Amino acid sequence: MNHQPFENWILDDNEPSYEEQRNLQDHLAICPECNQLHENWQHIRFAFKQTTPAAPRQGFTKRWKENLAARRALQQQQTRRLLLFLVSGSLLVLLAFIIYLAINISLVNLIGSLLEGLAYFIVVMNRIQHISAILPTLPRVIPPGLWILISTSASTLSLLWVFSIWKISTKGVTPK
Amino acid sequence: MSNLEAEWLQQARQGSDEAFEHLVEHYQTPVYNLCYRMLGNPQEAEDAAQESFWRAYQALQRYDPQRSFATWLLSIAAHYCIDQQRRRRTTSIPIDDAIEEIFPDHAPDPETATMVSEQDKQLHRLLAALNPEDRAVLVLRYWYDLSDAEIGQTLSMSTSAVKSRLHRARLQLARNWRASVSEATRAERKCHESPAF
Repeated sequence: MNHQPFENWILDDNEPSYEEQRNLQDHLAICPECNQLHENWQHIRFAFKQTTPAAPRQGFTKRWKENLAARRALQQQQTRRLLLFLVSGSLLVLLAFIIYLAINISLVNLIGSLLEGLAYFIVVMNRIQHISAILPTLPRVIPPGLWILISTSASTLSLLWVFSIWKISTKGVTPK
Repeated sequence: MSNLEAEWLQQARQGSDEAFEHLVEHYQTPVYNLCYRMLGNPQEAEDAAQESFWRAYQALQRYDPQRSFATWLLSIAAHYCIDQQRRRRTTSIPIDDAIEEIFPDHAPDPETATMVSEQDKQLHRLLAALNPEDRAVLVLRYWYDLSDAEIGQTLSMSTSAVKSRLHRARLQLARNWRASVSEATRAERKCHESPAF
């Protein structure tokens, strides 16, 4: 037998209309399955209404305070451990590096490497200077249409960036 | 939310532990009740409620004041309980140990209290058979009177999903009710029958 829409009328929150209620009563009179469902649901609704909210044992807030103190202490301990681990790790790496240098590289080689690094830095700075010199001539070289395209894209990206920062900072992350 | 609660909330967001303690005091029963109805065990409910408050405490800066604080808090508790349920998969409900806590001293009279506690046990058995999300939907509807939209917001699901979960959960409860009653009656008879038989 088809139990719809009677099943919905029995279980759902929407109050059936007068006509629907009459149809439902007619159906309940001939359908033992729906009748049973209707009866059971009435019992459950009654049970829901009768039950009171469960309350925690006395002193919940006191236990919360103790819990908070314990969790904070644990967090501080974890932070201290992490800091200790990072500092000692960094010191170990530095020590290993110094030992490696002392064993493998002579003082002359070390000074040579430093000078090489300095020369590389000077080259990079020179290139930056060259690029800075070219930049002022660009407006004359690049056509206006391309400028419009570049500035529009840059503005759109900036807007998107600002919007995402705003959304994250105001809405946050919904905690699970 | 009353003005006092709003003030506590504002002070708590500014870092006042005392203000947050007031909020814990105020919301302990709704949060505990949700955890208890979801997990079915007083000790687990206590732990879950404490954990929910801790999570709320940590996430207080991310709370959107446009939203109801109670719903936000219940949302944290409900998600935590659903996760717990998914982790353990099985549900154990030591109802008899818990019943004193559910019905404190203000029970009207012994007979009514016994009837109500029997109903509560039955409801617990039936709720335990539901999947965690369906159970959460029912608990929020019948113990907190939340609308479909509010339940959806609390459990991060659409209103239509809430409606369909409510229908499915009610159908399952109604179908299992009779079996649950028969089982309870059988257990009671067995308990009272003479050992000679």
